[in-house]
Amino acid sequence: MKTVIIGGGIGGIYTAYYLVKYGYTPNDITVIAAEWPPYSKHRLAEVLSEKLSIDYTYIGIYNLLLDKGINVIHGVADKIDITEKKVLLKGGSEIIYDNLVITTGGKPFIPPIKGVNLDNNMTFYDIKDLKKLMKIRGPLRIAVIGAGLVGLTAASALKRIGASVTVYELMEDILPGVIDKPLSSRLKDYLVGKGLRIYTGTRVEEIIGDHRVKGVKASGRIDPADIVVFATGVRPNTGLIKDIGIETVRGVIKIDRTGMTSIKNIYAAGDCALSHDLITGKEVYRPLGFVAAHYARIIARNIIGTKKETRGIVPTIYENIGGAHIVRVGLSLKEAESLGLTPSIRCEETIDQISCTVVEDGAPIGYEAVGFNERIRNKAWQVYYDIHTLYS
Amino acid sequence: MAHRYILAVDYEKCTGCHLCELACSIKHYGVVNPYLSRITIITKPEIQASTPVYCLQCNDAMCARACPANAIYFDDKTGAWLIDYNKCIGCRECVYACPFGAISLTVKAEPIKCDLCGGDPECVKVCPHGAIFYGPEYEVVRKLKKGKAVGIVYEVLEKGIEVPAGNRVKEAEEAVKTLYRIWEERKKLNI
Amino acid sequence: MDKYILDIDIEKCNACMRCVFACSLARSGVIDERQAMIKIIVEKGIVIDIAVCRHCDPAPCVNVCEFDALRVEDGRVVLDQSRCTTCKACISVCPFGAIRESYGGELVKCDLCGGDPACVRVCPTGAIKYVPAHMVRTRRISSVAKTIYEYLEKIGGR
Repeated sequence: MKTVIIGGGIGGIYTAYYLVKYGYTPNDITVIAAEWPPYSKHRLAEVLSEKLSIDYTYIGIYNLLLDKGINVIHGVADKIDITEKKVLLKGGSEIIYDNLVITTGGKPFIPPIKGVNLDNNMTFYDIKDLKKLMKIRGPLRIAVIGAGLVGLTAASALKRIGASVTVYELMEDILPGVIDKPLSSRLKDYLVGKGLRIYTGTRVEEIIGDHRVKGVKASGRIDPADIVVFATGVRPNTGLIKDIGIETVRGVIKIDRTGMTSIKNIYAAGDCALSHDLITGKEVYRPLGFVAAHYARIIARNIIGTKKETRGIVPTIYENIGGAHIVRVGLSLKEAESLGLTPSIRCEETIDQISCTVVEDGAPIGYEAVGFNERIRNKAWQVYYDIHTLYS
Repeated sequence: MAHRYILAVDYEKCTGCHLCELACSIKHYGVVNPYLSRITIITKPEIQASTPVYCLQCNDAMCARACPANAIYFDDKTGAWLIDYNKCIGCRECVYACPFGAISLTVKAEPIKCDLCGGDPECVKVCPHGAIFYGPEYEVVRKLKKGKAVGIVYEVLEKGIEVPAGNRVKEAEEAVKTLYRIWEERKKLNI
Repeated sequence: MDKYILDIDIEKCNACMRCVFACSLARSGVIDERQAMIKIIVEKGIVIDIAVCRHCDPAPCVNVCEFDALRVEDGRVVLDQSRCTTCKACISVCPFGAIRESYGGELVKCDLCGGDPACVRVCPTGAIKYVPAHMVRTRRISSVAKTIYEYLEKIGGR
């Protein structure tokens, strides 16, 4: 039984790790990785702002896996042949598999606006972007487009290395997918007080410049900028499986509760696949690291033969942006509404913390908090526990 | 719930015999170990005082407020705050939050607190001096008041026999002297 | 086996920061607040919290970790750095803010120094003690009893 894992990101590495942990022969595992060693995207902003070496981003587990004897191929998969059960690599070689795990991850989404092809337009997604940004010297004007978690962590990291940062967000609030209105408006006030320029409800119309970026035109106003960083979301990287008949939903691989795709013995996890929500049981697209790891464990269980079905994921998000703590467990009001629930929200506000519980039918389904001092005590665990006991 | 049931201790009747501690630990664990008791008597022989430390089942309990896992809940039937051990994460926050030190930890760092034995407290039954009461709040408060009154009467009547074993030697002596004085005066009046 | 725990009396702490520095020294060999696994939180001159791992069992952080990086090992919650990817799910559910971010997104949490905590050795006021679990209450009730005795002595009772 050979298992081939396409992708050396978190999903791929942890599938290999759990397979080894559950007793699969390490020699039968092959990881096809375009980037090696594996790194964690959560550490990019920290490494950038602290001016540390790239080594800090690597996940230490790859040494353990190499010691155990898994095979790593540095390359890119070109095609999957499902009738002959083999993966064709760029460069001509091919690998036979019995179980295939697709963890090709995601790719940053760049909106189709005028001028996105200019030099100095970049994303903040992988290690190449980090290397580019680490070369920055001197005070630069940087425009960050998108005020999600990636955008804001990048903005606050860039601010700390001395750049003058402007953030543009199309939606009315910052962190639109993470927290709700009362929290995000207070967080915005806090970040503006810290010296970050944030324009919400602003559509970026054009990136101005000849070869290099010179400015950003947003809602009719032109601000000068030297670098534009796009943090406008993640799309699944599923070009590889386009024509082989795996069921997808708007380009995202559909998987069942064992992590298997519509084709037997082909599994998928991570940013290229959908995941299940514990509360509603619906399929949602959550490009988050621990979702990938959760499905990696489920897939490893199913590959070694102990049947295991996931009950779904409760998102647990923490981020420190410019000294403010953002905690989110379960669903936010907006996300719950988009999943067809009719929730209400209860908020408590103090000088240094604002916390909200999202309630559906009297039972909590989500908790969000933003804290502004060093004390990060919260009630997230209560909500997390209640959700787990109620819905599973 | 018609009336709230409470457990109360008449400090003045307590002699510090520690029988309640042993009964408590036997009832809950089947072993004799004062560390596993939910009621603790602190004795200080120098000043002849015994102070029972036990859960007062507060109306607005600090332990329940502090619990990060929401594991402490109020049981309407017995009038006790109970720990839900499925939820408890063993963080000891309740131990630090309780102003009376009424929550203790086992050797495995598991918090234990008085659960009123499900409405039938063992310590009440075992106390040889009747110092521990359990019942509806109004009744227990009445008993405590009565206890105080009985103590004073007892001292007044038994003055000649020996020094009473109460807490109020000085006040009681003063009171008794006054009472005797009044008694003598009234005898002279020959009413 | 008795479970030993860090017993912290916040009222005795005068925020001298010795525990923080000792912790950082024991962990990484340098004195640096961000490398320390214990944090004293002072607000308006008052110590309001000492954030250090309580070594819960069952622990919320272990429960949410999908990366197999946190586990309970003879009564201690241990973080395996090599498996951690800094997804910070554990920080979001920790009720005490005991897991913190250090340099490069590395997470740090108390490991009790393998049974001889450095913070306890250096604490000058006895605010941190490393004691068997069942001894914690002894401190709590003796302080309660002390106030009662003081009151009794003051009013001239026995």
